[in-house]
Amino acid sequence: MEGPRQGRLLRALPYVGTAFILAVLPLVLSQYLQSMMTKFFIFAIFAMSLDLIFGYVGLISMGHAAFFGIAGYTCGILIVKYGIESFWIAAPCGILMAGLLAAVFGVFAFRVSGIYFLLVTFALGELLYSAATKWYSMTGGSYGLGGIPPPNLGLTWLEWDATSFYYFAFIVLAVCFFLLYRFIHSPFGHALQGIREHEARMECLGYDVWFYKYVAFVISALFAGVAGVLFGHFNGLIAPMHLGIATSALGMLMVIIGSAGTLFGPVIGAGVIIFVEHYAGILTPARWPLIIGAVFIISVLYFRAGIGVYLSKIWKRL
Amino acid sequence: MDRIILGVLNGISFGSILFLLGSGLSLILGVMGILNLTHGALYMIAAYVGWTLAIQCKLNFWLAVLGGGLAASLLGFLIERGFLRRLYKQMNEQVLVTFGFVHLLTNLTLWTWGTTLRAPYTSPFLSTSIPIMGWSYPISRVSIILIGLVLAAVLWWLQEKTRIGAMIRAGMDNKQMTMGLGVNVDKVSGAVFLFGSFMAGFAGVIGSQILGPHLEMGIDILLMSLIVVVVGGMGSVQGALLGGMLIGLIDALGKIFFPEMAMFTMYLAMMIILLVRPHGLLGRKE
Amino acid sequence: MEALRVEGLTKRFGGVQALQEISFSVEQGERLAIIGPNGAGKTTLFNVINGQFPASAGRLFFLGQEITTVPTHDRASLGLARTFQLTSLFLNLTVLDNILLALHGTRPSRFQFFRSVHSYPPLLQKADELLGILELREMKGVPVKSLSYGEQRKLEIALSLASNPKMLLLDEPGNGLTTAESTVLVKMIRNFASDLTLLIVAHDMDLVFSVADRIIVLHYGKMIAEGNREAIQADPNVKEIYLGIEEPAQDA
Repeated sequence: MEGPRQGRLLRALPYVGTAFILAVLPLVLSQYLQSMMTKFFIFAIFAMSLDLIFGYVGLISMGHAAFFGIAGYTCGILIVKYGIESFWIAAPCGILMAGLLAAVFGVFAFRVSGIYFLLVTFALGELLYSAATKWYSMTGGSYGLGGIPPPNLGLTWLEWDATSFYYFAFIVLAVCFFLLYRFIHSPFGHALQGIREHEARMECLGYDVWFYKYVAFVISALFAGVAGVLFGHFNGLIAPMHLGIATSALGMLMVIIGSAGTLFGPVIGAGVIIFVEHYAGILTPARWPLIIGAVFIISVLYFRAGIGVYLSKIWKRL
Repeated sequence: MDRIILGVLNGISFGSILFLLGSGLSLILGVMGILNLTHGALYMIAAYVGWTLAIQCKLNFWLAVLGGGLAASLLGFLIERGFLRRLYKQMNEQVLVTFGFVHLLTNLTLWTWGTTLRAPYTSPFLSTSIPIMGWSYPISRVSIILIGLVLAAVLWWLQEKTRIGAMIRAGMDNKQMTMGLGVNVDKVSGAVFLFGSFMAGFAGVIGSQILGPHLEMGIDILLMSLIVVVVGGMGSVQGALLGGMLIGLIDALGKIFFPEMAMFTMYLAMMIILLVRPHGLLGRKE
Repeated sequence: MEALRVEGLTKRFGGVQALQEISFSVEQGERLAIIGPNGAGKTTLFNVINGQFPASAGRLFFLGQEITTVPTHDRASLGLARTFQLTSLFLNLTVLDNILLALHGTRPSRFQFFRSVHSYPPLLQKADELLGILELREMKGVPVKSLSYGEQRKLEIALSLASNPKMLLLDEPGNGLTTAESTVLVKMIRNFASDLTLLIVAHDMDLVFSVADRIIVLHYGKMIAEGNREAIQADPNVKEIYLGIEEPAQDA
């Protein structure tokens, strides 16, 4: 609700505050931790993109990583195999590829719903996974596509280290967040929520529901693609697993833990998962799948509503 | 030509395994509305348990089969009662929880049995081969085909001709109504899960005659079983059988003719079926 | 001018004939009630007129234009609105957001993806007016799931009025309301603009007789009677199938 000036400033406060903290954090963090934060930023974008179709439209997809991966692969292949140097060419191609995939797939996928939609999105991810594994010449097969250099932004003064990656990812995250936020609060975004709540009603009110779902699907794929492109550069390597269920499920978990449908929640969820993954990997490398499995189980059963909802309640009380 | 015949036989024997797994998965999905991704992990654990029983403890192979099946059903029971009960029809959550269990169980298996590859094992009775077309074909594979066919017949009979079968089919179509008719759907569901898990375990040990226990087998076989269920159709024995055979054949013949594309073809088939005929070739229409 | 013309409308679900050769027309501004026992096909008829079910046979004309194959959302843009028997609101959204969704529904602004949904002053004003008419102003920021049943039913009607429809399909508007609430409902319906065409499905005969100009009776998907209040009350067919006509049916 658009209240008086104060109301608006007050609501912006947590976002601005967090942004500020994140902006100055590199001053106190080690290079190593900055890298981890960068990974967190990248997956935050991925989680937000998934939240768009899952939390806001209510579609259950188990193949979202297909868009993440295909963008990363496309961008990486253009750079590594075709010698495209500029980030400003390779990256948009990757992102558009993700959007294109969604645009084509979406034409067919929306004929089904519920569990069939889940299965067909799952099949998409696995299909791409097996294609990536087998197409050795183009994708490097199961070893993945390596040797992706840091982004060439055409800025000669820029030297790529952990800190520059940090700020790069941070800026992209902030821009994505802003765009998604406006989108969610626009009439279009609002309509998506209406569709989640009661599709039939929306049709009767004049909304072409299929169109909205389709557009939201493509947009979420585009943002997943942004994350994928960033990840390719950051990680230096894109592998088949980044297309398949492992990454899709991770993304879904981030959204659920963080609270679906809140936008900032999945960002937090991404942070939680990345940190747990990281520390479990250090402390008990052999047992970390066990831990991540346990995290999946416990959080889905006991933290179903998510952290984001919990935090909003606290904030409202202040 | 010989290769093709052998390929077909291989496809059918693998298809039998897929059928066993697929029918359990399909039943559980149809009756309980649960997408059970742990099915593959249960298969894997049973294979290892069977190995321990048959090779380490030197027990009779069929006891190992039984042992594997029981281990799987016990685990399945625990997972279902403890965790999956609360998630009826919440597809997303089920996928995540069962996915979590896959990680957990795979890691536990690793912890218990280590990473050494184990060879396929079988009963001494079945370890000979018979000559087919001038090639030596393992009896164990033939036994798998026979077991698969016998079980298919038994399950089909159960499904179509018995009261239990009728209750289950009714429960699939309309849970409320079936409950209203005095059938304890919960108990039936629990039994179905137990049975489905046992089948997964059974398949795991039987299948170890072809492919020795290894750590990826859980996910591999699960993905294929999922395709089987989708293509063949949810909720029916005939669907699982058809799906199993189709996928088994694609896999075996694929290895001969287009080895790079076998998995890809299967997923493509899965997607096409989902988009054109979601309830599968022989599935129950919802 | 005819608002709606229905010609030979038939609807089959597998082997079941839900509607058989229904034909009637409604003049602009007319209030037509559709009654009949449970299962007669009243809601199905609405669903077909609305576009949510495609007709198996027959034709539909709205304000002279054929709409037989026009999708639901386009029918809404042409001026056709409906309410639902089971309250179908956006439960997790606030009352205001519900109204705004309804207001944007037939306006091009529904495709806007950057401006805030709350930044359209003329729409906010219209929302305020609507809420005022239905005495729901204080509930503006409340999530709909916290509203009482009666308030939800009022909101249901508000949503369908938001688009300034030319024809409104009211599906059991009095369902579950107390006698007092029903009286308020009747008053509200009476106060609707005189050029708004109304089709009402109802079980409550008091409501029907106080509001309807004409009544159609459905039975097993067939139209068995049509006429004004006196004609229907005197019709022997109607009396035969409709014993106990005064009792509103208890829905499951």
